[in-house]
Amino acid sequence: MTTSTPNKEQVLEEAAYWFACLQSEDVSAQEKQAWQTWHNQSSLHQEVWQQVERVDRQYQNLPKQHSYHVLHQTGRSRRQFLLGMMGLAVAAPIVWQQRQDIQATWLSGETETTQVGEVRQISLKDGTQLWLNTDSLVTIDQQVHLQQFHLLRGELFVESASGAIPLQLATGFGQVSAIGANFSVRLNEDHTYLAVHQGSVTVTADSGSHTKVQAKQSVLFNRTNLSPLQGLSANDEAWRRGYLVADNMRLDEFIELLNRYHPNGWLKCSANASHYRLVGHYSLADTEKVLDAIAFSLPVNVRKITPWFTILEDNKNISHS
Amino acid sequence: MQNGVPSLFSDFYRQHHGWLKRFMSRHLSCQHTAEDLTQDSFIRLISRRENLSQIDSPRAYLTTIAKGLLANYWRRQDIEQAYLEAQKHHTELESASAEEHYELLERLYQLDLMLKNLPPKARQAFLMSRIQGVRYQDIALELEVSERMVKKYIAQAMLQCLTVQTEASV
Repeated sequence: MTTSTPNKEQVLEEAAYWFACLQSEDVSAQEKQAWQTWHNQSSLHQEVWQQVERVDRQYQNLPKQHSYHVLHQTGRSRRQFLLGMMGLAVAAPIVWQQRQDIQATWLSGETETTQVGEVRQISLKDGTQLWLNTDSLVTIDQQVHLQQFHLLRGELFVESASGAIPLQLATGFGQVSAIGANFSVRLNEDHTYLAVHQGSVTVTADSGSHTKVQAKQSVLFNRTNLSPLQGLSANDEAWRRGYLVADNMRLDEFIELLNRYHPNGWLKCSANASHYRLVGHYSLADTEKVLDAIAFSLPVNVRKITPWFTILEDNKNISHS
Repeated sequence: MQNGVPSLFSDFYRQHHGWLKRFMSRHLSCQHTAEDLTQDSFIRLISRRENLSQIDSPRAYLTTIAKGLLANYWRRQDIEQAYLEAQKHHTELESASAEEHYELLERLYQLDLMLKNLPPKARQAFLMSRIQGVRYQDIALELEVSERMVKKYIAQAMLQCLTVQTEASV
């Protein structure tokens, strides 16, 4: 019989991660072995795994092209519908056209990329310095009077040289233009984050709305909206020097940040440990060491659920069958 | 039902039917559908077995129900339209019978329900992987994300499906 306990949610999550792991084309024999161990651990694990298989079966034996087309298409129209409901005007075909143009012209430059956990400094022709944060991908097209970047993934920091030429940066949601400014840009799932450290930067969202962001200010934007934020965070630039700053930061927020630098899969903070707070500078060079340090200073356990899924839990309150 | 409730309901119905029908008509081009969804809103309200006299703002309450029904109706319309559209591009179902079309539509509607709150990229990654059998590395290229992100999207989508199913079975 199924009883819904808080524990079940956790097991659903573990099962979902195992599923994603096993479906990967490069799943290793060790991972399969580790999954088997997890599966045999409890009847709840087995029951939930059957549920996973039931879900997955519903996506099998469908006419592939047809079903994909329908479900993909409805997902897209749903978004426009929801935006419409919220009273936002969306000129989808025009935006799409612009994006195509950007892709065609701006993908022409050199491509720079970093691995998870890697931070790299790149010198441009005019002396401007570019830092690429963990797990990032950018194209750089250096022309005589203009340099055009396209950030496709991750985060970068620009430190302009004196006499730097104008710079344009495309992100998935709009464009950033600057002359001689220092700023950082991070691409998230559904918006872009811009922080200006020195000078000023103009943001133009795909919808055409634009704003000038001054030094010590930051802004979030997507294709239709621009929202100014309060000031800057130390973490907008500390990564350039290889560390994360926790200024009385909640553990769940810290782990979410650290996760971006963790090369061995995913890090997650369990809800029962999220309220603990951290202070200090933590080196990004070795995320496992950071986890050890946290386990040393706070009452938390670091548990590896799968080789690439690590969870931090309150060790006063372990609830696992 | 207790005595008195039916007459309370008919008062309630008389009082609110007019504006609710107009609300539906504003959002729908077909008058029959507007009337159907108006009736469905009242049926939904009765089936919740709430005490009508204790609903603080009946208009807001009915509007919430009506919006939910409209959203479902539009979802179905979306799917049917995309289905017809797909028919033009793909030849897989040329020899399918009417029943087979109906069954597939129903299946797709259920799958769409499971996926409805997912972020677009997670939804696409999951559909590519599970329906089309695309490898993670190719999904990563298509979506301009890392393979690690694809893995996370797949896990996120599976978790969402599991959660929806668990809630539905409670």
